[in-house]
Amino acid sequence: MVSRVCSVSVWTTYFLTTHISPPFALQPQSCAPSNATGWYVNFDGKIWLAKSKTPGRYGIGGPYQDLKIILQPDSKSQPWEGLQGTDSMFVYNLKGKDNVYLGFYGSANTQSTWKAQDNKWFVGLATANSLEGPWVRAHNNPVNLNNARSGIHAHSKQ
Amino acid sequence: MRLIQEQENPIVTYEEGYYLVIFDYLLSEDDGFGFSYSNDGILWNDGQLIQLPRGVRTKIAVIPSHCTPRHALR
Repeated sequence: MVSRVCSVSVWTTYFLTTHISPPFALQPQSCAPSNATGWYVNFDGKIWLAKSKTPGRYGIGGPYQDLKIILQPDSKSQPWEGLQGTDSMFVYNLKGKDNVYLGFYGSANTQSTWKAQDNKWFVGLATANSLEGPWVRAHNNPVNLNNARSGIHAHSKQ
Repeated sequence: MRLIQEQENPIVTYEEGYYLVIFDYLLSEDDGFGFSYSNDGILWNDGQLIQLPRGVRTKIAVIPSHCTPRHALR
């Protein structure tokens, strides 16, 4: 996703790199190969932040400069975050609060058994006071958005 | 009862006092996409499935169209 900052002065984007750095790999030795009972894809998900080098509205066309990783598997990862790491980031700003940013980020327990009734794909919220972070995971993740069919009134709050 | 949580790619927009989110409703991609809303952008209400005849693998955006005198149908 791309965010506009200070009226087209700089464009900020978050992205998931396709580069998989050691010691991770698509099929880490610690996991069994994918099969009918398990889908062991380790994507080593890390969310990068980049900013446009070209000022103004046309900066959206790039080029962009990679700045840093703002979310990744680490000691603060939560149990619902699986082998996918942090696999996506969707940031939004609270209306009227320029210094309050929230972001939905995703992950998946791809190491769990491959059964239709098993939950795998989740989203959680993280917060920051600026687009650069630091981004802090909400303590009561994951957020259950699609519980209409379950009939459970499960809300998430910061 | 188990929580059903199969969702990804939530996209949030703010419109007329509400935060709106659309997301991949993974368990029912053949039926449509997910939608929820929030008053404060933090506490989210129960989502619902928005049905589309051809299903939705990945939604891209939801964009409001404001009816103004210039754009109103005549």
